[in-house]
Amino acid sequence: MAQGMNWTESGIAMLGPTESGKSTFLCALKKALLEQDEDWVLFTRDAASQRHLDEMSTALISEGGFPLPTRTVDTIRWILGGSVERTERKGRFGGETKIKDRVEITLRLTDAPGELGRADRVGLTERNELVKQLADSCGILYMFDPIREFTHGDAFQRTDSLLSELMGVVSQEPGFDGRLPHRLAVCVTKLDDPRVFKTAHDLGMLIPDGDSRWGFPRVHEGDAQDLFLALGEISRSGNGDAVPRMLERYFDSGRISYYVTSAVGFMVNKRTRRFDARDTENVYRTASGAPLVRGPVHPINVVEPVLWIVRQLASLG
Amino acid sequence: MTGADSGVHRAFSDDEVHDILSEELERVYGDATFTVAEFAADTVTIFEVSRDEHGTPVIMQWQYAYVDGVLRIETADRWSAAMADPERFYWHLAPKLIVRTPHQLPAGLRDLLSRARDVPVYRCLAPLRELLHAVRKDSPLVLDYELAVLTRVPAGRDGAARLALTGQPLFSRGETRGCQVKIRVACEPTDAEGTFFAVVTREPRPELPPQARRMRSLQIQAAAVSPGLYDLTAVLVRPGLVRFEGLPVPLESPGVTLANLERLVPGELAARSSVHLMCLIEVCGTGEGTGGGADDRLQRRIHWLEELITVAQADAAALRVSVVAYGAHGVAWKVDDRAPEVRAWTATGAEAIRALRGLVGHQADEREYPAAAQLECALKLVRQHLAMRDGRPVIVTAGGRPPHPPGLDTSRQIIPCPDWVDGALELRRLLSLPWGAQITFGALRDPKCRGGVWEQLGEHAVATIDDAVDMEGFAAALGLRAAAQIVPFPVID
Repeated sequence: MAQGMNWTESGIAMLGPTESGKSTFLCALKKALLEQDEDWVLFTRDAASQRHLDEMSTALISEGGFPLPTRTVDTIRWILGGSVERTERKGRFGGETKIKDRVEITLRLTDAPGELGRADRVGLTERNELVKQLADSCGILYMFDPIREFTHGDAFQRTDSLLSELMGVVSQEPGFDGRLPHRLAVCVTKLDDPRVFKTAHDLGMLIPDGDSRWGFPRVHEGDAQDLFLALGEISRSGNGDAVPRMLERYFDSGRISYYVTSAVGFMVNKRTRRFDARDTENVYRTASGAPLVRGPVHPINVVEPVLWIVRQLASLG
Repeated sequence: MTGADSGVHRAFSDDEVHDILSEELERVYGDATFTVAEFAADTVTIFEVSRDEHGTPVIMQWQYAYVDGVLRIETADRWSAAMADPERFYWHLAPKLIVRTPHQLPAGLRDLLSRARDVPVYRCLAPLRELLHAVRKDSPLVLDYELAVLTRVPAGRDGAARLALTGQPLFSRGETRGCQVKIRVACEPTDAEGTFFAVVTREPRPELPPQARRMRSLQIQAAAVSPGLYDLTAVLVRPGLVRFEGLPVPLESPGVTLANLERLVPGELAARSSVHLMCLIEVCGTGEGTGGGADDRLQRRIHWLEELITVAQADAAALRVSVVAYGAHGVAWKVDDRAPEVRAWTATGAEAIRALRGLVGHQADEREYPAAAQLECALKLVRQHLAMRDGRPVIVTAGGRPPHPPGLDTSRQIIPCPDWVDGALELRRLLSLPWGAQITFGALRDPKCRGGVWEQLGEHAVATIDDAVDMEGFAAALGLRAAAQIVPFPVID
């Protein structure tokens, strides 16, 4: 991120291997915003972005299907409108008052193929484009898919390759302090998967979510990082536990926040209209291999990491 | 009627001769015999009438030729000496009567006939042979006829329950041809030789009670008929010949002895209580595994279940068949979740086969969940409906998918049953019923499916539907065939 760049224009990039849920995350964003109590809305100002927004929202919510794996570096310009709260002091000895400012933030969301993280893609045009997008962005949504890590175990290798190349680009900027300057929201995805859910349950990290109309549980904010560590330890490659350390090496730990997410949310029992801990997964695959959503989509922690980045950047002015 | 040639009586005496022969035959008993002679243009025929051990008249004949009016004997036999000597003819041969044909007799015969003295001589139009056979055919029985049958002797003071060979009365002494009697017999499963229908008489030992007298076979016929009850009509065609009507296949004469058949009678009938065959058939399936798509696989399941029902039907005394079709749970809100369906319950084999054929062409939803099927709910349904009064339960499952688990499944990631039914628990509940130990399980499974609940579903018999299935062996392993037991005679309760 270049010094002095307008943060509302600089955008947020997404990082994560193939099928880690980056595109699905975007598909669920609009619905997630609607389920928020706050007044954030998502809209566009150009036809291409509107088409993207419509297609991605419809696929998941209406048709129950999932986006195909991303083949190109897509940059989507969605506008997130809402209120940002700031504190203002009244006079030298006066108290502080909180003021809500209406803001519009252009989310330049970069959705790149997960394959670009592979070391053998270094130097390719698309890889270079992705690194540039990452360098130009203010925040990064990092998707950690514990199921893929369990079956493939390639998160460390692919992320390390990209971040070291990104570091090489950013280090040439004036004022580089040895760390990447981005705000990093680490999203541990697929909480609805029985294996992730049970790990969180067995570690005692699940608490009832009093605000959930469907009785969803949630992972306590303070436990998200620990769950990330715990799930990394069961990586197929044995390097999964290195991912958390790697991220803290590239980024300032004060600029990292952790979330346990599910783009499609938990399965809601059709008969009781409630969550049931015996049947959590909201996705299944048909005989053709196509993934389908089982019930209504109630995203979990999809909007929170985005808003965290926005608020972090807003606080910088 | 005495007589030389000139004294030969009357015109034609067929009726009178018939009556005389009948009276003579009535007097023949045991080893007794009588003879009659027929003088023709160039032959003399001697008939000797006796009875066999069953009292059936037996007619033997000897024929002697006259050439140029002179007796010619080339080989000596029983009556050849008597034929050459008129004295011996009337003394040793002692015919009860002589029948002469209307032809001119040769000189030698006229000479023999002139010495007939007390032996009546008759002119008949019909040959004496025909008259004798008519008499034999119309003669009344001199012994009772019975059908050799098996009967269950309950356990008592004299020992355990057993199967006994006995006689079912058919015709009584004095009855004549044309008599009919109806009897109901049960044909049990036996070997390929079939069931033997043996008409017997009893040895003439009046000092013994009738059932203690040894049976002697009069007529043995056999037919390979399906097990079951048959209403037979026994018709007395003539003494020594009984015809059975009411069997679906013709009887054949196998050439065996009663003694040999008696040795095959088992100590008791294998337990063959009525059977309730429950066919659980998976109607989903998406071609996973080898060999074709869902419809192809479903057709194979239907085919083998049909074969099984057909085989079981051929053997089981009282077979009831149920058909339960089950698919996959609709795991998504937009997909209907249809419960397992009872297509037939305690129906006949034919009705069950029709119910199975009704499943052909089942259309699977492309959004169908492919990793499991409602096997657990099908088992629960069976448990809830099952009653021992319907027969010994035999549960045969044709399918391949595992059941939906009762809850979160982190190992196979199978979506749970929406009703949280536990397939393994349902099986345990079935087995823990008071008569649960009598349930037998068979599996006609897809090639790749094994392990888990399918091990138990195939506990007594298992086969893969893509291979040739030895259905006789499969059915036998489930107790649907009374294998290896030979029950040679019909059974009467």
